[in-house]
Amino acid sequence: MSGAPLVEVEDLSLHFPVRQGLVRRQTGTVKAVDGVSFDIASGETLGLVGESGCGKSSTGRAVLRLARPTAGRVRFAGEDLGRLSPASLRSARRHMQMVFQSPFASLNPRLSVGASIREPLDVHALGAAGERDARVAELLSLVGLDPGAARRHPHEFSGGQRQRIGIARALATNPRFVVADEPISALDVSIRAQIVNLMRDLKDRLGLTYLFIAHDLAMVRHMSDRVAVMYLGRIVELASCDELFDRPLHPYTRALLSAVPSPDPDVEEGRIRIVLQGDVPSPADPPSGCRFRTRCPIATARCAQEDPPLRDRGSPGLPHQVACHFS
Amino acid sequence: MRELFWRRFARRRAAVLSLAFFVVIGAACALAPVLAPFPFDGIDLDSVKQPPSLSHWMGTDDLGRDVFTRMLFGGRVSILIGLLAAVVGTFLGTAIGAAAGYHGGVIDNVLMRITDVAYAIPTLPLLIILSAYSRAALVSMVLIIGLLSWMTTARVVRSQVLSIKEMDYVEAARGMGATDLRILVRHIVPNALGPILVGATLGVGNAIMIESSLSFLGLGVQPPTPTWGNMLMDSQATMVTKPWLTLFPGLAILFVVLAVNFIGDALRDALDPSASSR
Ligand SMILES: Nc1ncnc2c1ncn2[C@@H]1O[C@H](COP(=O)(O)OP(=O)(O)OP(=O)(O)O)[C@@H](O)[C@H]1O
Ligand code: SF4
Ligand SMILES: [Mg+2]
Repeated sequence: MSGAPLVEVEDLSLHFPVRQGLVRRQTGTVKAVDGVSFDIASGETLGLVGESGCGKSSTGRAVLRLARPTAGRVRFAGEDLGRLSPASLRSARRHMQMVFQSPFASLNPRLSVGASIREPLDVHALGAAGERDARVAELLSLVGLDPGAARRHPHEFSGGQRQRIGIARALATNPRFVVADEPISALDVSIRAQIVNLMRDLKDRLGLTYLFIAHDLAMVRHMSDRVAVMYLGRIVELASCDELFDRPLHPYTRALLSAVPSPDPDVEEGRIRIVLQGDVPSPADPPSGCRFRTRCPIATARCAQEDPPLRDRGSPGLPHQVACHFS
Repeated sequence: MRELFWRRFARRRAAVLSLAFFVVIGAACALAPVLAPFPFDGIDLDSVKQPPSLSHWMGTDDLGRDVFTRMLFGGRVSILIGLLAAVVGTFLGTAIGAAAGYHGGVIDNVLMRITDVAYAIPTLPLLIILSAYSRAALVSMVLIIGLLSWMTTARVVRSQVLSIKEMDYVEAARGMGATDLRILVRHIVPNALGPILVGATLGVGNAIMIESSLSFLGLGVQPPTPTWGNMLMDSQATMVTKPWLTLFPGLAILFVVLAVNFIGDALRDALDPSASSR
């Protein structure tokens, strides 16, 4: 974890037009991601948590340029992805891959497992054509599947196995960076740990860098070096894993953590559940000032006027960014 | 998946019978030079307008040609036109629909307006004009029919592509650096294959009908090459007095088109993604 970060995200926004009526006139904008900045060091795992709809997937897609950001910049290994030609971007994709949430939707049902895993090798012409099947077998063993699986089709596999296939495909080109978008939330609870452990193990063996998206805080804690908490298109708190879980500063993070049972009986006894009032406001019409103010237990008049910037409130050597006027 | 498909298809008895019927008729017509008891243009003025008999199973026409023989050769042309025109129409429709659905925006708008216009053109009058100006050879027949029957496929494929392109596996392909062409050919079109095949099947029946109508109007493939359509036309004057000349080509067209439509319907059901997903 030294040197320049592998991924640098600067003021990234991804807005979607809302169209209505017969002529599909644009009537508004969903600010799915609205000015998000973070770095990920090489070999690091950054966890990204937040409620459904807060913009986690959109962030992941914009970082990988699967969606064109409305504003902001993503640098990968020092290179501004927005300035690459379509062909250079395609070839840069070799180094950054995605693992999807749904193991059912992420594999083409018409392709054999081997063909799916082999495709990135074909796309980037990696290795001699004859060697690619050997590489597929190697990848299948790497994710704990029998190499014979290559000949079969996705529907013959369970959710967990398919997720392994998706991981093998993502790793085929030896990428440096992987965005994992809730890779376990569509899986049976019983096999989630296996997949998370596989991903951790692969990270160590292959020196991967992850953006790990989840809404399960326990999983994020298990996986991540640092954690970013998102609310309505913004990052509201970002700190190292231990720092964030032991000393949450943002009222939203505190509320999220208060809902997680603690393994430590002493802490568990003192745990006070903070229940958030109301619903998440629409990202098409976020509240003025602090976006969390409609649900914040400590909001004041100032919160409606001033949008709190993300500022470092940590101690020297232990950065802890938070966006709240009162913490 | 393949097994499941066949099991579901086989449940439709009409479709299985239709398929068998179509295969038998198709094979018989394809083998016409071997199977036919007489040469297709073998004129025999000593036995004109004979009703069906043991030596002429379907009788003879006004030049003494064997109707059974001409049915076999005529079927060859009619079915071939049907199949080839359906291939042309399906290919065009798939390409146009896929391009429109995948790219969206201006391309989609332009292609779909063209499709609307093509739809709105009354087919038969246009066909009549076109075939009047082109020599009614098999190739021009196929192209004309194909060029005028891609619109339904284009619309169906476009709507399929609109939903398939949102699938994660398409995003995964884009994320791995695949080109648009690769994504379309390898991921999108194969997953729209069901409706494409159904359309193609129905297109075969449609093309056979169009060929017959044109031949019936004297604008199709020209004699002496027989097609079921021009045989039907030749027999109009004697429909009442020599019914076998009308009956056999008429029934052949009717049953083949029916069979093809039954097959298409069964394909549609057997390939229904909502039921075959597991
Ligand atoms: N392609 C799109 N077009 C329009 N709106 C979109 C699109 N994709 C996402 N959105 C909207 O952007 C917001 C953020 O969506 P996103 O999928 O990024 O959230 P998420 O945090 O990943 O949620 P989840 O936990 O449910 O996956 C949502 O309000 C969503 O409706
Ligand atoms: S700025 Fe105000 S509303 Fe926002 S989190 Fe802090 S206290 Fe709550
Ligand atoms: Mg998501």
